[in-house]
Amino acid sequence: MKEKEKNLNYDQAYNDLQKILFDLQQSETSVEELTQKIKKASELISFCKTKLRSTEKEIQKLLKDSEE
Amino acid sequence: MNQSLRLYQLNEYIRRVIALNFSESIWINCEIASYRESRGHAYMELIEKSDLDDQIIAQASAAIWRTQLQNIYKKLGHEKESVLQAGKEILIKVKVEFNEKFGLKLIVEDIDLSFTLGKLALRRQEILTELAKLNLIDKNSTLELPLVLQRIAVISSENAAGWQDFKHQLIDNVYGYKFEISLFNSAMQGQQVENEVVEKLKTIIKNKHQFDCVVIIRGGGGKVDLSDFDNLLIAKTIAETPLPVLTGIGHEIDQSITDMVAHTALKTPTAVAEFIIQHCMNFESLIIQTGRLIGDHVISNIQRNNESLEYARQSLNWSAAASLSKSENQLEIIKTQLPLVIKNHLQSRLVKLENIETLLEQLSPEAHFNRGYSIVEYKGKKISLKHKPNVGDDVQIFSIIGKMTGQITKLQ
Repeated sequence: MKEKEKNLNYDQAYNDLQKILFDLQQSETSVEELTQKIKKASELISFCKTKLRSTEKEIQKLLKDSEE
Repeated sequence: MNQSLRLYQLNEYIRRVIALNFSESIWINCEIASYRESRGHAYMELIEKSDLDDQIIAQASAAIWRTQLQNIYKKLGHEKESVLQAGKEILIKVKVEFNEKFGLKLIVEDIDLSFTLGKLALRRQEILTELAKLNLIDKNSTLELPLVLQRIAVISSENAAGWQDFKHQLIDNVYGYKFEISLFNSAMQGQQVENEVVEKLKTIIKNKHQFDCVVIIRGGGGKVDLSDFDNLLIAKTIAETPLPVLTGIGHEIDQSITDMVAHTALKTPTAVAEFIIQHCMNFESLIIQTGRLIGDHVISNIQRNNESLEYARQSLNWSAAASLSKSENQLEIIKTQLPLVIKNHLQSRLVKLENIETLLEQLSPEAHFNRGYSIVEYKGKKISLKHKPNVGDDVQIFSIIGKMTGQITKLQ
């Protein structure tokens, strides 16, 4: 899982998240599977949030640099 | 009439008659037909020609004895050789002598130089009148001098000092100009002057394309000597020469007729050489000046072009700067907008994520259990119309208190 996270980018993570959501809404999922999928989804969400925050900071830094 | 005389008696009688009748010396004018000197004495043949047909109408022998000759030399000074030569008209004081053995002889005692000069002046005036009548005096001088005088036909005497001076001055000129000098050897004094100078001029005229000008030069000489160049035939030939004729035969004071009909008359051979060198130098100066003018023209042209290039360069700079500043402004606008756009973009993503998060929370079994509901599974799967338990089967129940197992007792 950690190895995967390293290669993960925002779009892939978001796509995976969409798919999990779709699966949860559509297919017959057992409670076990459901719990696991939700756990996976919350990991993806926190990855995406971190990514967004760091991206924002990075962009702010870059813009500041370019002013100098 | 039978009486006869011996020759000696006759000659003796003639001698006495002459001595009696010519006791005094007398002045006579005549022309020298020939002249020679021997052992300090001079011997001449004197003649008189008819005014009508140039035929000799009188002739006599004359002598100047050593002592008289020395006196006459002193009197004539540097003119002596020019006067005492064949062809000259002279006024002389003579004693008429007759010798029984040698016959009649005129013994010269004195000579009048002014007579000879006067005669020459008279002839000179006649020639000038004739030339003026034929419009020949200025004819050669109306020819245009070539821009450069380099191929020079020289009429002079090979042995004359003037010719050597002329040649060396041209060859050794300080500017390094090259000259082609061709000598046409000719007598420069005496009776041969007319024939030889005219003959050489005619040779030059035949080969006129080989030359730029004709130069006639000789060293210094006396006034009578100069009279060889007061010559009608030479003057006519010069007038008809298609090349400019430069002369350096002159006397410091007098000009000969040859000088007068020439294109340019200079005093000495050296002066002619200087004139030619100066003429070449004038041409070179003209070329150098023209070269400078062209150079100035080119430089000012280059400057003008440089200026317009510089103007174009500055214009380009200005418009580039203007365009750059416009782009900078646009960038500045983008730069101020960019953080907002990015923030909005990130924000919208965040909102989406949060929506998903909320949805997931709602979908989670815990949320279900918290609302008081339980989930029942049959054989590890959701119960559906296709997958349903019968009476007596076990089912799993998931609820807020955990997992339970129940048995179907009744199906309604």
